[in-house]
Amino acid sequence: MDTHAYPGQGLSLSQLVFALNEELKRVAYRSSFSFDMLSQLDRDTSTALADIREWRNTLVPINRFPLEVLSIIPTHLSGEDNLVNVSSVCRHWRRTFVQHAILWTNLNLTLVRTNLYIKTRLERAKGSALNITLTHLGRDHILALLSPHVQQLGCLHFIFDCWSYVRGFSEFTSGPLPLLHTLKIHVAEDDDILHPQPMINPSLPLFGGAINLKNFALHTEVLPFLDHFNFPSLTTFELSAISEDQVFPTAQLLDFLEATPTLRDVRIAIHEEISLAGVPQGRIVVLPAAETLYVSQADPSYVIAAHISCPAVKAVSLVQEQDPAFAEPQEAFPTSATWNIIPPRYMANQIDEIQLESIAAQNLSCSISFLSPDPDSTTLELGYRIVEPDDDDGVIRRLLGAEYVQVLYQASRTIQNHPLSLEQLTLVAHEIGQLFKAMGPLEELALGTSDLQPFLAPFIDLPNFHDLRQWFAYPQIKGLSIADRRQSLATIPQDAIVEFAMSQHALGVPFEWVAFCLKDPPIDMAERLQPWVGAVHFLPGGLVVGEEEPVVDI
Amino acid sequence: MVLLVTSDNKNFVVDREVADRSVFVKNTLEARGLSIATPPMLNGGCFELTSPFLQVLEYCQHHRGEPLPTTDDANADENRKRTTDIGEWDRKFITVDHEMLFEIILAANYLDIKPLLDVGCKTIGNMVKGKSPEEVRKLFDIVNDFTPEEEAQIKKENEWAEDP
Repeated sequence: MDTHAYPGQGLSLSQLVFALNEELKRVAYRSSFSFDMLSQLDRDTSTALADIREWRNTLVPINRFPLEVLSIIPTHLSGEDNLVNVSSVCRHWRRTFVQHAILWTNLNLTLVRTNLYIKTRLERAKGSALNITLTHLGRDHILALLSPHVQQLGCLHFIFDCWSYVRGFSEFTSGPLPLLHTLKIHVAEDDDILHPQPMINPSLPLFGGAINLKNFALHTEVLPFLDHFNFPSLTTFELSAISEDQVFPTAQLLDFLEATPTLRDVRIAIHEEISLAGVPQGRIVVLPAAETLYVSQADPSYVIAAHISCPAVKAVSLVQEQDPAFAEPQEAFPTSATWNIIPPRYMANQIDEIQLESIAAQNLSCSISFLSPDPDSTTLELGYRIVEPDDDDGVIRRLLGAEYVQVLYQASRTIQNHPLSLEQLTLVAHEIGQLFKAMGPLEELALGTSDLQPFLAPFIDLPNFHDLRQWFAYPQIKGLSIADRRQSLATIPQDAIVEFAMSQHALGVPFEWVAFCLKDPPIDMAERLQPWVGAVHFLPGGLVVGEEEPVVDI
Repeated sequence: MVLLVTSDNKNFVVDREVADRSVFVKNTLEARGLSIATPPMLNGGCFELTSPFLQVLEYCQHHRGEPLPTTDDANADENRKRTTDIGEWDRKFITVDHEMLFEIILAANYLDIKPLLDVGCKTIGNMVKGKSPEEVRKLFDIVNDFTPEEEAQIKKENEWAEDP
């Protein structure tokens, strides 16, 4: 418990009030009640009253908390106002919180603050690592105040509209920055188009004293100047580059990555045209420690990813954002060339997930995910989303070299709210047929009910579908599962499923099992499928295949 | 099983896994080289009543087996503190009157049950969030004990600059 002394300690409250009154009477008697004396009396009374109230506050339950417990409360509060408010509740809280240095380490200098404000907080932070956000506003007086505390910088977040400010601050902090673990730089496009402030190349790497920097985030609307940074201990790197009129220098990015072999988490999003100048075709930058890699870029697709190798990676997400100017996607799924380059590079070892996604002009998004919970099993999740049903371009492209795929899931959830027209169904079915032709044996084909038609196209009695038979050649499939959390038997094309099973049986590769996981179990399907498949399982409604063992075996 | 005795002499027999949620109990048992059934006396005086202890036991029972927070990850600790999110079960559990809330926090602090201490302090943090000093005072029966001079100083420290 807090043990600081209070005035009048040892007296009862009534004794203290009595003593105070006596003192006031003595003061009043001795004085001639001049203005000054009355003012002094007023001050003394205020002080005495405040002391009594402070004493009273020690008796309220929350102030029974030990100081170390009371100090925890504001650590759960975000926002400057909340901290100021709780520090202004009473003397005890103020004393406790002011002494708790860690509370005062966040300093948002994007807002216009007085020197006293900044100075007070820097003093209260004592020697703790500082978390500072700043813009160029009032830069000079801020630099003067920060000067004695530069070595305390722990997290630095710039929001500037010009690279020269970043350079200026870097030069200001030249020297060791031993506590700096996070650096975030957000450089917006210079508003002053007529008088842009050019970046003068620095003689030394920017923030070169940050030898312990772990996290570096760079969001820039102008060229990134990555070649001016070098952080030997970096583990997390996030780059977001957006520019309408500049070309992204891929060589700089690759050089930066190559000089940072400690990286574990890499997120790169480039929303501008890229340049491969100075990048030999066979150049591969190996990130030996990288566990996650996210690369999103505009066309051409996956080019940057093709120059990176992450032998220890556990999750990869590669996204191509197609040019909105094109009404039709240039490449919904990767070309066979890309397909042959990307998966082997990222799937050499055990991997949790690799995802390739294509986003096109707000009307189409396709993605392929490999999910690999163990090295012996690789899953391909095939998803596509059509927002505008009048899109009639091919949505699924051919996949070659599909030896990496063992389980094919249809990501039906993404399309179930967008029923396809007959023409689109035909188109999708055609693409799926091409996909199947390129595949080796599958452990499992898992389909949702909402869009079974294109997957079962050869077996559905629809006019356009008859012509599709030539495109389909299902590989050997060990198991077929049909699951949906909401749908019942009535909504699925039962005849087509039976036909599919008969077809596989006739080809000499019958399903070893077929599983249904539907709201109402289609029990009679067991009888219909029994001659053609090894076993039929019914899983409890609402479960997804693989979540639980079958409950009924027939 | 472990026998825990509160300072008002109530006995509680609990699984070792439940008792080990308290770092204080865990360390006490380990320091004495005990693995089964010996009572650590919890008579530190910070909490004396059976009632908050029952609440604490309920919490430990619910969270048994979960990994205990480690002290070696400073960033995780900092992130944990900076949020005010409380899980649904914990939120229901901690929805008690002020008196019980304070007792639980004191017990969690004494018994060194960090996650429970966090839940309690986050709850108080949520109570004061967005409130003015006067509203916070009212909430916890605190009176304003600043002199006018002290109040003026506080105001000055937090003033906005007129010009950059």
